[in-house]
Amino acid sequence: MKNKILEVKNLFCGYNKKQKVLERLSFSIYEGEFIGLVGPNASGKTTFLKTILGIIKPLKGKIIKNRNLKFGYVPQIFTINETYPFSVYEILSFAFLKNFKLNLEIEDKQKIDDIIEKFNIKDLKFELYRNLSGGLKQKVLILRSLLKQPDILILDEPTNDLDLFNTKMVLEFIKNIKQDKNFAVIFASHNLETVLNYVDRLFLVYNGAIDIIDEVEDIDFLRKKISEVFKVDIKIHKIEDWKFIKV
Amino acid sequence: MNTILEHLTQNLFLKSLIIGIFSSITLSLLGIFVVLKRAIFITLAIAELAVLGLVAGIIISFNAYLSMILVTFLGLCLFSFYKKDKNFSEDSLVGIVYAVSFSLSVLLLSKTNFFETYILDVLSGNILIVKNWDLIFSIFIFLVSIVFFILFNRQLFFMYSDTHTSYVFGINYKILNFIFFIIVGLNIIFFLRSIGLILSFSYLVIPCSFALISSPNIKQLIYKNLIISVVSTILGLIFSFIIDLPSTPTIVVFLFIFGILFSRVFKS
Repeated sequence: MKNKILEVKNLFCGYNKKQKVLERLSFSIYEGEFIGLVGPNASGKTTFLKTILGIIKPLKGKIIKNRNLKFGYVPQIFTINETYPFSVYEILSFAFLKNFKLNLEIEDKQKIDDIIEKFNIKDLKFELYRNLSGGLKQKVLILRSLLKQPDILILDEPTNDLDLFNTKMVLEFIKNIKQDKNFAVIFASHNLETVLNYVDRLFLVYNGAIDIIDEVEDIDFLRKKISEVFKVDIKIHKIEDWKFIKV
Repeated sequence: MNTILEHLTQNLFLKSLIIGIFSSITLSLLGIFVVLKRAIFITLAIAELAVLGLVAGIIISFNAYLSMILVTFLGLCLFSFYKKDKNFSEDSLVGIVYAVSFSLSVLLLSKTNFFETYILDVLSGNILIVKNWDLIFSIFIFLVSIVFFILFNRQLFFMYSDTHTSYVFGINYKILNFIFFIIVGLNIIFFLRSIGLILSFSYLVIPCSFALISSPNIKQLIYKNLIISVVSTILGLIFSFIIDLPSTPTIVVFLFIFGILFSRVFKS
């Protein structure tokens, strides 16, 4: 039995009471699980994530977190201001900043060097972040979050605007690092097929609510549920462990 | 201490040089974050609020610094408590504050006998009206700003380039952002009478924008930003004293010319 690390009870999310985006959400998140948060554009995925992270206050309901629960967060890359020439090392070092901290400690520097070495990005250490490809930018942001040693890693549409090669690279990368550490992942995307092949549970965001699918391996159930939620008839084919969706 | 201050205030060039160097260093360092946050227009509105405070203080015979602090602080609170609204953007709020405070300053000044002289003093400053206290305040705000920059520059770089992640990682955005703008406001207030509105604003924007063109990393950006602002100030002052031109507009022109030359030379 996995440990529960976060519980949401009757949560209402939105920017103000007149603009409720999601309503009556209740679910739990367990350690080590990989959750796919899927929904059409502007369905409320980012609002939901921001509420869980505490960036937006819940309109109603409760978010009960384990004591000392730590979040890692990878925002959508277009939200990062790339005006200034930050190096990859500087971007990674932001993980250790606190409100009152003058300089990086020796252990912090060691941790950055270790992660650079372990994930083979030594050549990129002093490269400018803004000059990297979309896939590499995501990789750097994911590594920065890992430096926080999170219990839950939240990724907001990390494969948006990425080509097929980079999308696969990012997802395989997350899958591989998850094998080492036991943190939960919430992966938001509007690409159902991509997410479906990596996650343990699916959260379908649609029409102001979240429908949770616990059994992603049961193809028939999955097909019925997705068709019902998105109101489109779909077919799912499984070829060599990879699920293909046909609308 | 008094003798040193008296000597400084009696020597016009030395006094201009000291205030010029202090203001160029602090305002250009703060300008790095103004440009990064894309808050150039906000600082202009803050400067205009300071002017309104100054004018109001003079009209009602109240301490100029206190009235400037009060009005600027009220404006900063307004910006800080503004909540995002689809029908009313932050840009509109800043624009309205700028236009209204500027108009109110002109209206108040129009009822005085020194309208034209004062408008000119506010825009381009007047080193001749700088007293010992002004010099002490300038040194004080210079030191406060430098300490703030040393302590929080990395936090500011993080939160102005990636606001949400910095919040999730534990940086208190609201408080740090408010303190930052308080410090920008205080700098404008304490340097307004000596260097004027145009030069204060120019120090915040021009050196950083040119330094950014030729800087491959953050360290160089900071150094080049300082070099452009301090060297232009010294050259502009010397030139204005030799040719007998108003100092602050001359420095602004030097910031522009030296900035272009510097960024072109170092870019190539």
